Amino acid sequence: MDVLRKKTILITDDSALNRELLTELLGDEYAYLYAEDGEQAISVLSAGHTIDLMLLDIHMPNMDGMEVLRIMGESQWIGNIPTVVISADHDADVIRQASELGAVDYIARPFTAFFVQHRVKNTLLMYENQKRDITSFWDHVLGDDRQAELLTHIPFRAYIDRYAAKFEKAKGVAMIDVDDFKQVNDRYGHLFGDAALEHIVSVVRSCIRREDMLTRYGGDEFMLFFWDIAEDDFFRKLQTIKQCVAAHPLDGIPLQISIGGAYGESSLKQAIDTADKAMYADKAQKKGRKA
Amino acid sequence: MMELTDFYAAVGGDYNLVLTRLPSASLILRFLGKFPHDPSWDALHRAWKENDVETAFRAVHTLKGTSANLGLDALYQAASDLTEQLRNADKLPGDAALAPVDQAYHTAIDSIHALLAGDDQ
Repeated sequence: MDVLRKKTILITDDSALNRELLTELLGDEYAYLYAEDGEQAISVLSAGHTIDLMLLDIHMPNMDGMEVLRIMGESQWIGNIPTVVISADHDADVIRQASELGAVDYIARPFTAFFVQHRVKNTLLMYENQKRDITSFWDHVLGDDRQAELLTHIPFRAYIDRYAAKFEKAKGVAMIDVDDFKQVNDRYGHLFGDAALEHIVSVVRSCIRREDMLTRYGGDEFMLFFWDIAEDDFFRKLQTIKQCVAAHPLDGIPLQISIGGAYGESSLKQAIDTADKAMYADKAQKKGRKA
Repeated sequence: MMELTDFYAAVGGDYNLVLTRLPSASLILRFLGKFPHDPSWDALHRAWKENDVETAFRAVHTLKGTSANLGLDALYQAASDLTEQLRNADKLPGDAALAPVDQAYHTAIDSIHALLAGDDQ
């Protein structure tokens, strides 16, 4: 009977007008719960309702969206309830911070009906597929089942957090960021942007082995994990991946990524930090060349 | 009788652009009708009187978001400017900083009333 149940969306926004508008745009395909601020959202989450997705405003009284994400992380809700943040800000820092706290995506105001519908539907679908594939996913990670495939729907960052012990053992960790992704969205539309992300996932996966793992870290950021690779091969592989993406435009439109790697770090946290810095250095170098 | 195209011209917006984001004229009309009941502008003024920077920031930030969603672009721009002035501010600026928001808000409210009065007829 579960398949017949409408998916439930928790809309957390301090503006009644925005809550109503989101409900209207998403339509009666879903059931809704509402919270006017972060405290109410935590109360709703604590009450044990089945919630399939949360739309979360960032700036709210009493408790803001970032604090909600922190509590969701501590309570281990974030891995089970995909959370899409909403903000009038196009501030990359806000989006990045939310992403680091486990938000899977973001919707910017002003709302565009199709974009809101598309993001919600896609996120729900991806989580549903992840749940279905979770067993084969872990077989894959642990090396027990080479048949497992996650070509289309790669795991979210929440899985890295939840199963950190496995990822701690990765020798090579890389951070990937799509260059000028906002401009891609602005110029060609968000549908193209989504297609571009899927395309990049597909290209990157074609460059790595089955035992390596590509995960989505944030909106247009991805992480790569290599458990069994020599240092030289690892850094060569990163360059190959970057060139491979550049060599495969989508519909004639060139796409580029920045990539940074960390090898043999003492902890996952350190590896992510080093890879992140290397990725930004790569990006800065390219910008320097353009200038 | 005011048309939606004229309404959006009066509030600094672009009806055709709004229609690319929101699905229908009836939905736009319905939500424009709700806008005068939105408490953000009152909350901003209350916070301003009480010299409460944090609440004023949140209120104008919300006003910025709702006006953006409805394509009330002049109000969105004014609210956006004030939001940036209040972001990380220790104290409120002078009342002059509030004036553009008030002006754009009253224009939006008056235009909504004119639009809906015509719609009722």
